[in-house]
Amino acid sequence: MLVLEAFIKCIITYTLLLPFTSADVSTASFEEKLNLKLLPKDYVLFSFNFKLKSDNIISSSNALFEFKRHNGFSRSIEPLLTKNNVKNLYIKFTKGHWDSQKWGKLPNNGWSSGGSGVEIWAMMEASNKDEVIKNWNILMSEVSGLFCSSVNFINSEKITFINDIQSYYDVDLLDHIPITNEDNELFFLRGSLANEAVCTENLSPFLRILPTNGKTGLSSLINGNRLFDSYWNSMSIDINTVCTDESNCYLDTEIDINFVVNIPQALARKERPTPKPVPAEELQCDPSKKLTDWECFPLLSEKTYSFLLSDIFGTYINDSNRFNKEQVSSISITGIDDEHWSTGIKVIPRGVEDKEEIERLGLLGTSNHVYELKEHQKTNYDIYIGTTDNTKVALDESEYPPIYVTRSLTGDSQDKGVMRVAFTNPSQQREITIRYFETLPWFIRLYVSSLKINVKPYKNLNIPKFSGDAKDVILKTDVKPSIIRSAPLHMQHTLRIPKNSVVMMTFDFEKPLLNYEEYPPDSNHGFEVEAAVVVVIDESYEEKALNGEFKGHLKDHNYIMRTSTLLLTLATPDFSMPYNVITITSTLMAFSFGLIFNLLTKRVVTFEDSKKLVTERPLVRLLKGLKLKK
Amino acid sequence: MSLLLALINKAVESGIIWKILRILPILSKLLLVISVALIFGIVPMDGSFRNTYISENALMPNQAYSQFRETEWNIVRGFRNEISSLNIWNLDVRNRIVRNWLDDFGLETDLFQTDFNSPFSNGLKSEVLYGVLNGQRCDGTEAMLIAAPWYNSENNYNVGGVSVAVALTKFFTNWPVWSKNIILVIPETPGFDLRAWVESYHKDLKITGGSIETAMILDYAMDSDSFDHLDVEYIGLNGGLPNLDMVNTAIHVAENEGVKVSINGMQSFSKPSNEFKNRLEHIAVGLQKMAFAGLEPLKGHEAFSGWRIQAITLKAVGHGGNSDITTFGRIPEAVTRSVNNLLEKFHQSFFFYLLLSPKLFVSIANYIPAAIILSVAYAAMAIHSILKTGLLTSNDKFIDIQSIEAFVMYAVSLTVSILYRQFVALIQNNHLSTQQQGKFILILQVFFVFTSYRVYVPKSKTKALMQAMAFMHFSLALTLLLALNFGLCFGMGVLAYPMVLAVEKNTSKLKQRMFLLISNPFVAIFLMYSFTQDKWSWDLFNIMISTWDNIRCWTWPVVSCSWLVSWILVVISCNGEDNVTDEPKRTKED
Repeated sequence: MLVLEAFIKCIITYTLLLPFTSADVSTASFEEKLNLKLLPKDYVLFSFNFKLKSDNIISSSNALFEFKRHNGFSRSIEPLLTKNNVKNLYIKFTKGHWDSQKWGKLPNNGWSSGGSGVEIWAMMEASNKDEVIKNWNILMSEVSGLFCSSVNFINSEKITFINDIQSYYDVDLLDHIPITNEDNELFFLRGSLANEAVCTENLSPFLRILPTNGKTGLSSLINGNRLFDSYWNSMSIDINTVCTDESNCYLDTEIDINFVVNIPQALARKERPTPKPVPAEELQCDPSKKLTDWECFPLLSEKTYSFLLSDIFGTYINDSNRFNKEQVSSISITGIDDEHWSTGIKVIPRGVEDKEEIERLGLLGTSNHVYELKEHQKTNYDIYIGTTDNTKVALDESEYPPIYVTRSLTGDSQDKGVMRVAFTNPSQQREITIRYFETLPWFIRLYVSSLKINVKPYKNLNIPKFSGDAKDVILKTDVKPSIIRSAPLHMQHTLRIPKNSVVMMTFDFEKPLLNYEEYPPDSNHGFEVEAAVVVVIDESYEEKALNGEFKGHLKDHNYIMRTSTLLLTLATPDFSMPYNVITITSTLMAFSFGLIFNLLTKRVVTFEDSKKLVTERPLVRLLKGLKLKK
Repeated sequence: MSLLLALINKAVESGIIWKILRILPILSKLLLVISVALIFGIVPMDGSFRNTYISENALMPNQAYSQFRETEWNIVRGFRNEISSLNIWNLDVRNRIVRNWLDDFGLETDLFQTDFNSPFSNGLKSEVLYGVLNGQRCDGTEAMLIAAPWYNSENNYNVGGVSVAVALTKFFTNWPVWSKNIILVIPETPGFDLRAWVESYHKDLKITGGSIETAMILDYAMDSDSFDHLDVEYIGLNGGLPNLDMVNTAIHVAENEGVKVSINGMQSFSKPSNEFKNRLEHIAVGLQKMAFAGLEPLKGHEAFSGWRIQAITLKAVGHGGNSDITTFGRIPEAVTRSVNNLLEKFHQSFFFYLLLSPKLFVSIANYIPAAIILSVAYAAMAIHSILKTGLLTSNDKFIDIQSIEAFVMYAVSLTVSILYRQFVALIQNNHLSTQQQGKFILILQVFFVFTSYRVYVPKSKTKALMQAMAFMHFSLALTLLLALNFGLCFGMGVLAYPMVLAVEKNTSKLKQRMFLLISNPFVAIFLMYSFTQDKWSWDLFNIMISTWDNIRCWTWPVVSCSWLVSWILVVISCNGEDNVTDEPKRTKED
């Protein structure tokens, strides 16, 4: 009893004294930014960026109990990582089609979005691959619970181990990753679920990770209705473990939420929730064409409009957040020219709720279109954007993507198909080197040897065409063959795409028949095949990075993109059929058994003999006897 | 088992098998009559058909209010004014102007150059304008297609169709609901160039939008604000039909909009569908369209056959009626929205059916027996001919000079038939017009029928064997074809039947030659086709070959590899002398 009492006393004193004993200051921090990029054809890209830093995650060894402070950093993340020996974790939810012809490069050089569906990358520490897969499976179950997504289906049938890490990860950061056991290795894994439905329930966990909880600050703008009613949206969370020294490690988390909205449509949506025809007085007609009360040639391009962010989001930015004390939240608007576009911020003091009163409030503009949310008292904000000519949005030369990729399945037969990938290098000045990273499910039995490759000019220009052997375009190939029902086919081609040319690769594949229970629900829809990853490599940078000469961030040098997903149709059984088939087969088997049994047990005799034999049957003889007796 | 054995024993005992074998030619004729009666008598009769229904629940046609109305009407007219004034321009100018509009709507557009270098299409060059509208809720794996050719199948300027297609696409850009991409295609004609585009789409087209689920071809070739009724064409090449759900959806939607609907150009809405004659006409026209698909002027939906694309042509017929041009636009709008609901591919409903009216159908199980019986009719004749050879009953050697001759003749006629295309291509080079070429081919057939006996006269065993092979070949060909292209199978079976009459014993030479002549594939198809088209179509054979070359319409190879082979064999065999004692001998007689 005495011992116990002493023990309890000890705990109480420890807990009471703890705040005073641990002298180190919290290193946690939170930053938020919103960038509005106006894109051609009235589209606008909203990029929300949140940076979170945790406190030191290494507990001092002399502490009796582990007490971790979170200071706004989500509690759910740290156990997720440490429990399964995960060092870095990148989760990306993406939906829609990024129209790179029109919109240019992906935001953040493509590093904050994945292929359509869910994509997960993880850097994990383990002694061997089996252990990694075991940990991965646990991690996936937890992530699936945390983000309300069926990522637990990303099992060993879907994951790939990444070889050329330097193309996907800053190699110099590898040194900053703490290894718990010296014998262990680091594994970099990737898995994805194609076209997994992304919706509101996936968004809420993202907002919950934020210290502002989606209630205040920039995140107060984000709501599911707006985010998912977009042409393309992506939510990504990148968690990195970073160590400054042995005993000082923290989790560096970055959340990016990007989406593309069409402005006129979003504004019309507010007035007319269903896209009804516009009323006659609102028709924008071309006055140079025939225009009467019943004839109207719609005005193409060149329109004027203005809007407030609240028109699009249906809400104001709800006060400046209280977490970033050093850094203020900022909103920047890019991609516009000053002559035809104007922007401004409206500061709405708390308590002003009357619509008309808000409308009367003045706008404050800046010349660089960057606005900071500075007021520390309870305030609402709204951003104004207006234009006199909406066509005056242009992408810089540097904003066009270095590559266009199309991937499709062709061939119409039930048992064979062809996969076609075309890489286009639109540049007329320089050739590019890419890594084409493909993971295909085992039921696409792709013949790697059937690769056909050809090079065609992209545009007919007066510059010399590619004249070499098409095979020389491939610099390096890694293939990991699939294992039926347990591992995907993984191949990575490093290609050099000549300038102004289209490199087309085709592969033949075979479609097998699956087992009855392997078909997904709605199997007549087809099988979703995940997007391929294409990285445009800055070779000089990569070389330097490998040699340890640190030269900036990988994400600024390499451009990463995903192709569209594919829909594979396999021969699908009629699922009520097995029962019919069972009946028919049983009948046929009974028939054939009867025939064979007869052949085996009966003698073959001539027709005459058979008659004679029939009369000698005991039954017939008995009947005859009976007849005779009568 | 023993019961079956007892039955067989009984049959053998009573000699009924031999009796049946002796009346095989009569039996064969009886089967033909049954087959024809089944299609034209039983199938249109009450009880064998059903009302159409939407089988796939997700389609939900007309559950939502169609919005292509009110001010959209002004926009359609605005586009129509412009498009109608484009008529004077060349294709490339028209395409470039419309492409600018589509670009402005936000579509990804491109021009596709087609080039045919088959000798049968005279180096036709064309350009197809197409654009992909990326659906907002779409993952880019599936697409719905709307096409409006500049000129329709009757070579009229499709001003209404193109305007509706363009206005509809603009209208579609405002909708956030699309879960499949929408592809707009504007070819010059609905024929070869559209087909070439579809082929390229599945091979190496620059912009693609996922696998095409459905295609609708809009044909409104008039300047008028209103039209009388809608005609739905759905019969594709090589017996391919769109899923019945697709046709039903279109008809359902149109009728809900208050538009009168006809199918296959049968303007039957004035007549009640409960009239037997009306249903009979629908069957006849349906079968004829199925058999001649690809040979008649192409409507557009034929271009999509063979890729699991459900394609239909919507054609507005008649100036000034009760329905206006936006109503015409609301039909593709509602169909597109229905298809947009689909999660799975079209698989629920029938792929093999005959329509007896826009809302009545008969499924394959009810009409396929007709084709089976027909092929059995030829098989019966083949057995009859085998019995005539006496090979089964006598102890003669099977392989002797006569049977070898028969096999050689079979091989020769097979080769000749397969090479017929090359032969026609030879005529092609001799500066004859297509009309003259057609006449030449027909004269050649007559010539062959009346002079072939001067070259080779087979002996009786050879003759019988040749006939056996001819009928067996044809019967097997029909069996292979019956589920794939019922119309063609049935048509061939019926039209080739005079062949059977020609080999009968007691026919006069002239009658025999006449039977042979009318059962010639070229003559029969030519006559039938001219009858249905109501004009002498001498260039039919050129059409047959060029459709095979350019749009993969099987009619030519099917006819030349089955019917022609059998016909040549039968003609040669008919030159032979009859054996007086070719009655099958009975092995057992009581």
